[in-house]
Amino acid sequence: MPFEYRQAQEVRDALAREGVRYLFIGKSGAILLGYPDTTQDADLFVEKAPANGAALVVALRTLGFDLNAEQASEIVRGKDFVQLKNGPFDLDLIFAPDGIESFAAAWGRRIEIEAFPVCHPDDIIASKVAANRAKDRESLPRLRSFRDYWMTQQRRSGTP
Amino acid sequence: MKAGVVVHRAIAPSTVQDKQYSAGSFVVKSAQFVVGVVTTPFGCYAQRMHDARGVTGEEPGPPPDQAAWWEEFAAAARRPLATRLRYAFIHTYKPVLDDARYRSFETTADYRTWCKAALPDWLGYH
Repeated sequence: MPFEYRQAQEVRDALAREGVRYLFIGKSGAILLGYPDTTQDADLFVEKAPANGAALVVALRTLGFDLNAEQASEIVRGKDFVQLKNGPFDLDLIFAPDGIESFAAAWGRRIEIEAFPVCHPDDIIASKVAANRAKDRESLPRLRSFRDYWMTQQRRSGTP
Repeated sequence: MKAGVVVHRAIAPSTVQDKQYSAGSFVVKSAQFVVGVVTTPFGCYAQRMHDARGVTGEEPGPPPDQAAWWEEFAAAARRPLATRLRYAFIHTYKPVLDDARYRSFETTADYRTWCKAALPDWLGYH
Protein backbone atom coordinates (compact mmCIF):
# COMPACT_ATOMS: atom_id res chain seq x y z
CA MET A 1 0.00 0.00 0.00
CA PRO A 2 1.38 3.47 -0.83
CA PHE A 3 2.18 5.82 1.98
CA GLU A 4 -0.19 8.78 2.12
CA TYR A 5 -0.05 12.15 3.81
CA ARG A 6 -2.73 11.11 6.29
CA GLN A 7 -0.67 8.03 7.20
CA ALA A 8 2.46 10.12 7.53
CA GLN A 9 0.58 12.28 10.01
CA GLU A 10 -0.61 9.17 11.86
CA VAL A 11 2.97 7.87 12.09
CA ARG A 12 4.19 11.22 13.34
CA ASP A 13 1.41 11.53 15.90
CA ALA A 14 1.54 7.92 17.14
CA LEU A 15 5.30 7.97 17.56
CA ALA A 16 5.15 11.37 19.25
CA ARG A 17 2.49 10.10 21.70
CA GLU A 18 4.80 7.24 22.72
CA GLY A 19 7.86 9.49 22.82
CA VAL A 20 9.74 7.54 20.15
CA ARG A 21 13.01 9.09 18.99
CA TYR A 22 13.31 8.65 15.22
CA LEU A 23 14.02 10.49 12.00
CA PHE A 24 12.75 10.10 8.48
CA ILE A 25 15.70 9.10 6.32
CA GLY A 26 16.33 7.97 2.75
CA LYS A 27 14.26 9.12 -0.15
CA SER A 28 11.14 9.47 2.01
CA GLY A 29 13.06 11.93 4.19
CA ALA A 30 14.25 13.85 1.15
CA ILE A 31 10.69 13.99 -0.18
CA LEU A 32 9.50 15.51 3.10
CA LEU A 33 12.18 18.18 2.65
CA GLY A 34 10.80 18.93 -0.82
CA TYR A 35 12.75 16.60 -3.09
CA PRO A 36 10.54 15.70 -6.06
CA ASP A 37 10.90 11.99 -6.68
CA THR A 38 9.05 8.74 -6.11
CA THR A 39 9.45 5.91 -3.64
CA GLN A 40 7.26 3.19 -2.26
CA ASP A 41 8.00 3.01 1.43
CA ALA A 42 8.96 5.20 4.34
CA ASP A 43 12.31 4.75 6.06
CA LEU A 44 12.70 5.56 9.73
CA PHE A 45 16.07 5.91 11.45
CA VAL A 46 15.23 4.85 15.01
CA GLU A 47 17.38 5.41 18.08
CA LYS A 48 18.66 2.06 19.27
CA ALA A 49 17.62 1.84 22.93
CA PRO A 50 15.33 -0.79 24.50
CA ALA A 51 12.89 1.75 25.92
CA ASN A 52 12.70 3.50 22.55
CA GLY A 53 12.16 0.19 20.78
CA ALA A 54 9.40 -0.77 23.22
CA ALA A 55 7.68 2.56 22.68
CA LEU A 56 7.97 2.05 18.93
CA VAL A 57 6.29 -1.36 19.15
CA VAL A 58 3.34 0.18 20.99
CA ALA A 59 3.07 2.91 18.35
CA LEU A 60 3.33 0.44 15.45
CA ARG A 61 0.58 -1.75 16.89
CA THR A 62 -1.59 1.33 17.32
CA LEU A 63 -1.02 2.11 13.64
CA GLY A 64 -2.17 -1.39 12.68
CA PHE A 65 1.07 -3.31 12.22
CA ASP A 66 0.60 -6.98 13.03
CA LEU A 67 3.66 -7.82 15.13
CA ASN A 68 4.02 -11.14 16.92
CA ALA A 69 6.00 -11.46 20.13
CA GLU A 70 9.24 -12.47 18.41
CA GLN A 71 9.05 -9.60 15.93
CA ALA A 72 8.28 -7.15 18.73
CA SER A 73 11.28 -8.38 20.69
CA GLU A 74 13.54 -7.88 17.66
CA ILE A 75 12.40 -4.28 17.36
CA VAL A 76 12.86 -3.68 21.09
CA ARG A 77 16.36 -5.14 20.80
CA GLY A 78 17.04 -2.91 17.80
CA LYS A 79 18.11 -5.29 15.06
CA ASP A 80 19.87 -3.07 12.56
CA PHE A 81 17.33 -3.41 9.77
CA VAL A 82 13.64 -4.37 10.01
CA GLN A 83 11.35 -4.42 7.01
CA LEU A 84 7.62 -4.22 7.76
CA LYS A 85 5.00 -5.10 5.19
CA ASN A 86 2.49 -6.34 7.72
CA GLY A 87 0.66 -3.10 8.27
CA PRO A 88 -1.32 -0.41 6.47
CA PHE A 89 1.79 0.69 4.50
CA ASP A 90 5.39 -0.43 3.99
CA LEU A 91 7.87 0.76 6.56
CA ASP A 92 11.61 0.15 6.96
CA LEU A 93 13.09 0.55 10.44
CA ILE A 94 16.79 1.29 10.33
CA PHE A 95 18.65 1.30 13.62
CA ALA A 96 22.15 1.63 12.14
CA PRO A 97 22.18 3.29 8.73
CA ASP A 98 25.39 3.26 6.75
CA GLY A 99 27.37 6.49 6.75
CA ILE A 100 25.97 8.15 9.90
CA GLU A 101 28.10 8.03 13.02
CA SER A 102 25.29 8.01 15.58
CA PHE A 103 21.63 8.74 16.08
CA ALA A 104 22.50 11.55 18.47
CA ALA A 105 24.61 13.29 15.83
CA ALA A 106 21.88 12.98 13.20
CA TRP A 107 19.27 14.13 15.74
CA GLY A 108 21.34 17.23 16.41
CA ARG A 109 21.26 18.09 12.71
CA ARG A 110 17.59 17.21 12.15
CA ILE A 111 15.12 19.33 10.24
CA GLU A 112 11.48 19.63 11.32
CA ILE A 113 8.89 19.85 8.54
CA GLU A 114 5.34 20.22 9.89
CA ALA A 115 6.60 18.46 13.04
CA PHE A 116 8.02 15.56 11.01
CA PRO A 117 11.59 14.98 12.22
CA VAL A 118 13.78 14.51 9.16
CA CYS A 119 17.48 13.81 8.69
CA HIS A 120 19.52 16.70 7.34
CA PRO A 121 20.09 16.34 3.58
CA ASP A 122 23.80 15.85 4.23
CA ASP A 123 22.99 12.78 6.35
CA ILE A 124 20.60 11.40 3.74
CA ILE A 125 23.34 11.80 1.14
CA ALA A 126 26.00 10.33 3.44
CA SER A 127 23.92 7.20 4.02
CA LYS A 128 23.38 6.73 0.29
CA VAL A 129 27.06 7.28 -0.48
CA ALA A 130 27.99 4.66 2.12
CA ALA A 131 25.35 2.19 0.93
CA ASN A 132 26.70 2.58 -2.62
CA ARG A 133 23.95 0.58 -4.30
CA ALA A 134 23.28 1.04 -8.00
CA LYS A 135 20.05 2.88 -7.26
CA ASP A 136 21.89 5.19 -4.85
CA ARG A 137 24.67 5.94 -7.32
CA GLU A 138 22.06 6.78 -9.91
CA SER A 139 20.13 9.15 -7.64
CA LEU A 140 23.03 10.93 -5.94
CA PRO A 141 23.80 13.66 -8.52
CA ARG A 142 20.21 14.92 -8.43
CA LEU A 143 19.98 14.52 -4.66
CA ARG A 144 23.20 16.52 -4.19
CA SER A 145 21.81 19.20 -6.48
CA PHE A 146 18.65 19.27 -4.34
CA ARG A 147 20.78 19.65 -1.21
CA ASP A 148 22.52 22.68 -2.78
CA TYR A 149 19.16 24.15 -3.81
CA TRP A 150 17.68 23.51 -0.36
CA MET A 151 20.67 25.08 1.41
CA THR A 152 20.36 28.14 -0.80
CA GLN A 153 16.68 28.47 0.11
CA GLN A 154 17.49 28.06 3.80
CA ARG A 155 20.04 30.87 3.62
CA ARG A 156 17.65 33.10 1.70
CA SER A 157 14.97 32.58 4.33
CA GLY A 158 17.45 33.21 7.12
CA THR A 159 17.07 29.70 8.55
CA PRO A 160 20.31 28.66 10.26
CA MET B 1 23.74 45.03 -19.62
CA LYS B 2 22.18 45.53 -23.03
CA ALA B 3 22.65 41.86 -23.91
CA GLY B 4 20.70 40.80 -20.83
CA VAL B 5 23.69 39.50 -18.94
CA VAL B 6 23.73 40.30 -15.22
CA VAL B 7 27.03 41.65 -13.99
CA HIS B 8 27.98 41.84 -10.32
CA ARG B 9 30.81 43.61 -8.50
CA ALA B 10 33.00 41.67 -6.10
CA ILE B 11 32.63 42.96 -2.54
CA ALA B 12 35.94 41.50 -1.38
CA PRO B 13 39.23 40.28 -2.84
CA SER B 14 38.85 36.77 -4.21
CA THR B 15 40.72 33.92 -5.84
CA VAL B 16 39.33 32.07 -8.86
CA GLN B 17 41.29 29.23 -10.37
CA ASP B 18 44.43 30.33 -8.51
CA LYS B 19 44.22 33.90 -9.79
CA GLN B 20 43.72 36.84 -7.45
CA TYR B 21 41.04 39.47 -8.08
CA SER B 22 40.52 42.64 -6.13
CA ALA B 23 37.34 43.95 -4.58
CA GLY B 24 35.33 45.77 -7.21
CA SER B 25 36.15 43.33 -10.00
CA PHE B 26 33.26 42.52 -12.29
CA VAL B 27 31.70 39.06 -11.97
CA VAL B 28 29.52 37.35 -14.56
CA LYS B 29 27.94 34.15 -13.31
CA SER B 30 28.13 31.33 -15.81
CA ALA B 31 24.60 30.15 -14.94
CA GLN B 32 23.42 32.55 -17.59
CA PHE B 33 23.16 31.99 -21.27
CA VAL B 34 26.43 33.77 -21.89
CA VAL B 35 29.64 32.94 -20.09
CA GLY B 36 31.28 36.29 -19.68
CA VAL B 37 34.71 37.39 -20.54
CA VAL B 38 35.23 40.21 -18.13
CA THR B 39 37.62 43.11 -18.47
CA THR B 40 38.85 44.65 -15.27
CA PRO B 41 41.47 47.30 -14.68
CA PHE B 42 43.74 44.34 -13.98
CA GLY B 43 43.09 42.26 -17.06
CA CYS B 44 40.60 40.01 -18.76
CA TYR B 45 39.25 36.64 -17.59
CA ALA B 46 36.47 34.22 -18.29
CA GLN B 47 34.10 33.67 -15.34
CA ARG B 48 33.38 30.02 -14.82
CA MET B 49 32.41 29.96 -11.17
CA HIS B 50 28.69 29.37 -10.61
CA ASP B 51 28.96 29.81 -6.86
CA ALA B 52 29.93 33.46 -6.62
CA ARG B 53 28.21 33.99 -3.27
CA GLY B 54 31.39 34.74 -1.39
CA VAL B 55 32.45 37.19 -4.05
CA THR B 56 29.25 39.12 -4.72
CA GLY B 57 27.38 38.64 -1.47
CA GLU B 58 24.53 36.93 -3.34
CA GLU B 59 23.24 33.39 -3.13
CA PRO B 60 24.50 31.03 -5.84
CA GLY B 61 22.32 29.91 -8.69
CA PRO B 62 22.39 26.40 -10.08
CA PRO B 63 25.33 25.11 -12.07
CA PRO B 64 24.37 25.43 -15.75
CA ASP B 65 23.79 21.71 -16.17
CA GLN B 66 21.42 21.61 -13.17
CA ALA B 67 19.17 24.56 -14.00
CA ALA B 68 16.31 22.27 -15.07
CA TRP B 69 16.54 20.34 -11.79
CA TRP B 70 16.41 23.55 -9.77
CA GLU B 71 13.28 24.55 -11.65
CA GLU B 72 11.74 21.21 -10.65
CA PHE B 73 12.81 21.76 -7.03
CA ALA B 74 11.29 25.24 -7.02
CA ALA B 75 8.05 23.91 -8.51
CA ALA B 76 7.90 21.18 -5.86
CA ALA B 77 8.51 23.72 -3.11
CA ARG B 78 5.40 25.60 -4.20
CA ARG B 79 3.21 22.53 -3.61
CA PRO B 80 1.80 21.76 -0.16
CA LEU B 81 3.39 18.81 1.62
CA ALA B 82 0.21 16.72 1.24
CA THR B 83 0.36 17.13 -2.54
CA ARG B 84 4.07 16.33 -2.65
CA LEU B 85 3.48 13.10 -0.75
CA ARG B 86 0.57 12.12 -2.97
CA TYR B 87 2.83 12.37 -6.01
CA ALA B 88 5.82 10.73 -4.34
CA PHE B 89 4.67 7.45 -2.84
CA ILE B 90 3.87 4.97 -5.56
CA HIS B 91 3.69 1.27 -4.93
CA THR B 92 5.41 -0.86 -7.54
CA TYR B 93 5.73 -4.56 -6.95
CA LYS B 94 9.34 -5.60 -6.39
CA PRO B 95 9.93 -9.35 -6.71
CA VAL B 96 11.37 -11.10 -3.67
CA LEU B 97 11.56 -7.85 -1.71
CA ASP B 98 7.78 -7.58 -1.50
CA ASP B 99 7.14 -11.29 -1.03
CA ALA B 100 7.48 -11.39 2.75
CA ARG B 101 5.45 -9.53 5.34
CA TYR B 102 8.36 -9.17 7.74
CA ARG B 103 12.14 -9.41 7.54
CA SER B 104 14.86 -8.45 9.97
CA PHE B 105 18.63 -8.46 9.87
CA GLU B 106 21.04 -8.38 12.78
CA THR B 107 23.34 -5.94 11.01
CA THR B 108 23.02 -3.58 8.08
CA ALA B 109 25.87 -5.52 6.45
CA ASP B 110 23.73 -8.69 6.69
CA TYR B 111 20.93 -6.86 4.94
CA ARG B 112 23.24 -5.68 2.15
CA THR B 113 24.58 -9.22 1.73
CA TRP B 114 21.04 -10.60 1.53
CA CYS B 115 20.07 -8.00 -1.08
CA LYS B 116 23.02 -8.98 -3.26
CA ALA B 117 22.27 -12.67 -2.95
CA ALA B 118 18.49 -12.67 -3.16
CA LEU B 119 17.33 -9.71 -5.25
CA PRO B 120 17.43 -9.41 -9.05
CA ASP B 121 20.21 -7.09 -10.26
CA TRP B 122 17.82 -4.78 -12.04
CA LEU B 123 16.18 -3.68 -8.79
CA GLY B 124 19.36 -1.69 -8.13
CA TYR B 125 20.15 -3.00 -4.63
CA HIS B 126 23.58 -4.30 -5.67
